Amino acid sequence: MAAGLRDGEFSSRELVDAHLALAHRQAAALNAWASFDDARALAAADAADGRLSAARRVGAEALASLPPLLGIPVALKDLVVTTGRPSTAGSRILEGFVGPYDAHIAERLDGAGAAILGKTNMDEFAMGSSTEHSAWGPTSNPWDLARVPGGSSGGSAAAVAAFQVPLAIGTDTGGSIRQPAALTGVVGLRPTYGRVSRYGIIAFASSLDQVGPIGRDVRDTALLLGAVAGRDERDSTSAPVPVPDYAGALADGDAAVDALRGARLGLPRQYFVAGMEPGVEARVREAVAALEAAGAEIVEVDLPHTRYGLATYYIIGPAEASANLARYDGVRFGFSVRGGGVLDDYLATRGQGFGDEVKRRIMLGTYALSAGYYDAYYIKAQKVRTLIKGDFDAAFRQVDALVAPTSPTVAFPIGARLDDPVAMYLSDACTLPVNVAGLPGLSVPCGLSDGLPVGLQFIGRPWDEGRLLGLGRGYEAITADAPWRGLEPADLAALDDPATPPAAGRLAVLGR
Amino acid sequence: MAGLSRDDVAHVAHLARLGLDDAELARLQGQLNHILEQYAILAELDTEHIAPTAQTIELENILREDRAAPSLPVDVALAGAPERIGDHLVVPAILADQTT
Repeated sequence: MAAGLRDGEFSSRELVDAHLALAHRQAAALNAWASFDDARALAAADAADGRLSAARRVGAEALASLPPLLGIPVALKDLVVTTGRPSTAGSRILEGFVGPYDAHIAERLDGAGAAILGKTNMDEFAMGSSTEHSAWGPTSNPWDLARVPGGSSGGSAAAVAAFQVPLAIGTDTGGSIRQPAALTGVVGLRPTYGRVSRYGIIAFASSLDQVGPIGRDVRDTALLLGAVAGRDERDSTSAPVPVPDYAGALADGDAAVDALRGARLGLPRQYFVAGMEPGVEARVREAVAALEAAGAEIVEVDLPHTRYGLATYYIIGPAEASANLARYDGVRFGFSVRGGGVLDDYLATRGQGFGDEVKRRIMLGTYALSAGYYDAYYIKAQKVRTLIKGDFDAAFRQVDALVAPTSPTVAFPIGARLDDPVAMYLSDACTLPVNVAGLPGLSVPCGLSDGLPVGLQFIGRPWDEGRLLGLGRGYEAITADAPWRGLEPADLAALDDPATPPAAGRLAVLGR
Repeated sequence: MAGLSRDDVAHVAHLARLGLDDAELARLQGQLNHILEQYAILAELDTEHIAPTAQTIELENILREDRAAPSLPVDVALAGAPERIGDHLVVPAILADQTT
């Protein structure tokens, strides 16, 4: 797309118009978007076209020096705060909320000349693995509209998979970028904790949350990461660590395979968990064999505390969330119920404003932090966190990166796990240890099982996103001719059929 | 570990300032107890001599220059307020019980 813009094959206006038209036309059928901002996107497109034609008059060098995302459509998850556009985090408690300032990454994308089309649907406050826990209804998976796209960044992943937007921002607290990327057949990267500023990102769990890119291939994903990464003094958890030129370091074709030659990759035995679908395991093992055939050295490694990850995560995450979400008091902003006195107003505002999953996590977190249980749950979980991080530290003394499944299953049917929170939580069994340890993880598509996408996960040392992207690009190169690479999501045609029922109706059909 | 009783669930809901109806309390009691059973696995690990980890990337003393910058204008900061009078937020009276 960037090349097409520079060559004058099409304008940014045409590009943005086409994406907006598709996204609007399929909005009800897919429900990937929480809100659109056509006017601002088109203004950004026109500004980009102005810069492009000015540069074209100057010459090839001026064109080449333009920022790579200039004029390219991008989507933001609905928890990235921006002025003039609502940011609801999928919650009724923030219905209609318009932030007073722009998130750091929104400023960076505006500065890079990207055209932000709008905000994508998500599980409420990013709590969920299916995008069913949104106050605005579930998002569908373009591969099968009766299935979930994963979550919580399911709107971002589904919109990218359905070609409604080439790039989208997500956030990943326990797998919320990688798992939906895997389930929709796109690429998603969770950066190292501290890599991207969270200034203006609506918080879920502050020691686990990280912002990252979703794209249709590794190079696009690397471009978006490069556009948003780096120190921002308004977020003291954003780290003063240099940001390499991620996209510039990626090679093409045979040269890309060099990243695999001699790479020492660990295969964690514990990531082939009970409950993993045989089709998923088969695709992942085939991918690992392909990496080995291309020259990577595969070493089986142990991450012995993996089985404690789920409990650790589901104590720390809810505990932090219960504190972060205390700010929704119905007094300063957002949904508010008044007239019953201070306590009753709180109870009513929060009781009616939050959805089921958010209430569940606030309850869990409040309990884990409450007097008498703080040591038994919260401190215990933080100690186990040390052990889980220690597992990764030990593995990275042996290998350069880890290779594993992203999700134990393919996309599951809408409604299938809503009554069993623990089954839903298991969706993130292979991704959440990475968050607990603060590491970067990349999910790339590695084929289909039962006609649905499977994700391959690369996990790296802190700040080693560049290596993960190189490995992902290498894997793309060795599978460039695989038959599944040419397949588009099976339900793209249904999305364009006016007879297709809206996604929001699909839960209602199930009697909810 | 003993499970949460219905009263325990109601108490936690009160601490969390969540107004829940009876059906929600009943559903949560079952679900929370099921989740707490999963937590029990952590008791298998001896962590007496393990230090807790709160933050993974070990950043220390992130400082920046202390310089004046404009703050948000009051109108912008209060734009999302459910109820305001002029430059002030309207908050529920906290002493209502004593004055009525």
